[in-house]
Amino acid sequence: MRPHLRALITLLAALLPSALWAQSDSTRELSRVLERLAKGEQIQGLPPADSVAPAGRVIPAGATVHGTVVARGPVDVSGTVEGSVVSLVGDVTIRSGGRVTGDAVAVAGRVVADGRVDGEMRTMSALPTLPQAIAPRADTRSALERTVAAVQVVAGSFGVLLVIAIGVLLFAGQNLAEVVETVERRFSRAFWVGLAAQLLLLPGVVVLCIALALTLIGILLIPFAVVAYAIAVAGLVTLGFLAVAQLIGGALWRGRDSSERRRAFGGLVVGVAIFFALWFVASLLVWAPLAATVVRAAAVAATWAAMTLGLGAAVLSRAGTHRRVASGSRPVELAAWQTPTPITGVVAARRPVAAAKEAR
Amino acid sequence: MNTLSLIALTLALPAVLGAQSENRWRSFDVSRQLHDSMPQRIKVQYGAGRVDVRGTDDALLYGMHLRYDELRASPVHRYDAEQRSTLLGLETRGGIGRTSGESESAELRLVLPRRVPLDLELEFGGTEAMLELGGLALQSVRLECGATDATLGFTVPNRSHMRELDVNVGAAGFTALHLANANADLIRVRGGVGVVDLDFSGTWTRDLAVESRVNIGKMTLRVPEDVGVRVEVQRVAAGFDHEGLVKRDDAWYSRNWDTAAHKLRIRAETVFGGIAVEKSTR
Repeated sequence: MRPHLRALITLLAALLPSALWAQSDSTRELSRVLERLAKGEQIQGLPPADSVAPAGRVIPAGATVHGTVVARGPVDVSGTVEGSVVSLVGDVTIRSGGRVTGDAVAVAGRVVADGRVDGEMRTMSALPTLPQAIAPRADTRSALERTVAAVQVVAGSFGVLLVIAIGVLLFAGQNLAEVVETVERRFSRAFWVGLAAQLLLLPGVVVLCIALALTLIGILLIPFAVVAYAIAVAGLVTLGFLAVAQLIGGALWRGRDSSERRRAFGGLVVGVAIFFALWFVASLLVWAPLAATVVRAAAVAATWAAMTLGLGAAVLSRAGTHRRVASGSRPVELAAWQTPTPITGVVAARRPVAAAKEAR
Repeated sequence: MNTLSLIALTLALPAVLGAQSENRWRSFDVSRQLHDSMPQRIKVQYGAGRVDVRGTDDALLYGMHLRYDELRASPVHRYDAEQRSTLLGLETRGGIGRTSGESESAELRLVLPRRVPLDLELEFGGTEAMLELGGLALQSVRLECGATDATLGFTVPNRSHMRELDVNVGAAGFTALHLANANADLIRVRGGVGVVDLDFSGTWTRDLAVESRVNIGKMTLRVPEDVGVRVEVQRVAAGFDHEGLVKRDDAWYSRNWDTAAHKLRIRAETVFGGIAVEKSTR
């Protein structure tokens, strides 16, 4: 067999089951709808049925039918229907002189009206399968189901954060180490800077938008700038949080005989696990709403404090790119550009000695 | 299995998976026959997608076609015979996000009767809207858009006298064409961020007042040469292109202001951006 013919047959063979399944699925669904309508049940999107026909139906001129008519097939109305007309997989035709006092509804068909329809004419590709009501529904799950769901959410979030942590450790380990050092050495300042940064987040984005709008052409960049801003903030917060987690985790898990990278990873995992422990306990207490609320409040407070501290440290260390900020000293490379360096005379005598101290 | 078969299977996979996701999409048509020509109030609410609204000579009070994602929205079509009011559109399900790709597949097409006096309210979210309202009998129009690229046109004159055309756009590009055909006493345009382009060509039957405010962006007003223009401008950090206008007292006037058969009074406000008044042909 030729290769392209074989490929075509493979393609058709792959598509056939899904096509057949889709077909049989809709046929079964329509049969179920008819059965339910015949039992007098209400189907969403359809009026309640008074008579159900397993095939098409014709209402001849001069005839009057009382109540809603439902048929699996076309419905042809030349007389009067005092109610609605519904066709499942067929057209509804109201001929000249015919009248429907209710709605004319065709599912997977059309409504053709030369006669009079007092209500609405509706055609839909398929019956709605989801409830129309927008109002939130009450949670009918059992306590165990709700607990399992809550634990799954926490475990999932923990897993995602661990993956991010590994990524940061692998690709931005230096930056993370710098932020950790900043938290360690400038704890108080990092917290207040983090708090200020949170307060300035919204004004910052507003100022950014106005600045771009002032340039007129920059108006087009506003959506991109807002997204970039959000990504940058999320990145800083995540980096900062991971730094705080590593600091706490590293204090508890030292891993004396391990390599530096392994110690950093271990500390990070333990730190993240500590923060998630509170959330985990809160998820286990779903069956006791008051206790769960108290634990969740504690978890929120702890997470917020860590994020604030971490954000401040990330800002202070410029996402870990500003070396030696943690130590509080001026970076050597920043002073180095101030050339020419006075060697002799009064200027030399007054020369700042920061660089010299750094060297020592 | 050779390479071609592998490619074929790869091609088939999205189709198999797509068959599942396509099941969420529904098309829905609803219409109501017109049995009299008494005034009606029609309100349309629509979130995201493409919108097309225009007039029809068919004997319909309304005809709406929707294509929507069943997971995210459900159709709305409520008719109150006593109040003579209709609510149409889509109701979104709370708490579910939307991606732009899916919004592009969603659409609303609406036809409205030309012979029935209408009070029309249109509320759109993130849509690409084409509204051709010429030839309808509109008594009032209120258009509210979110992040929208909207074009409102009156290619033929409105059949009724319109009390007010009220347009409120968020972050949007808004264009209104042949506004003289709207046959309105007052046109009010408020914009947040974006570009607003108002074209006053068409058949002038009465004087027209325009109140427009764009916070950040550019507003262009295109006025036929034979129409007298008076412009009052309030701006903060915005430019005003007033070529062909002369300043008298607290406003700018066109040279034909005293002799023009029809007059356009504009009060324009902007904070950042620019306002331009340009001459055009009818």
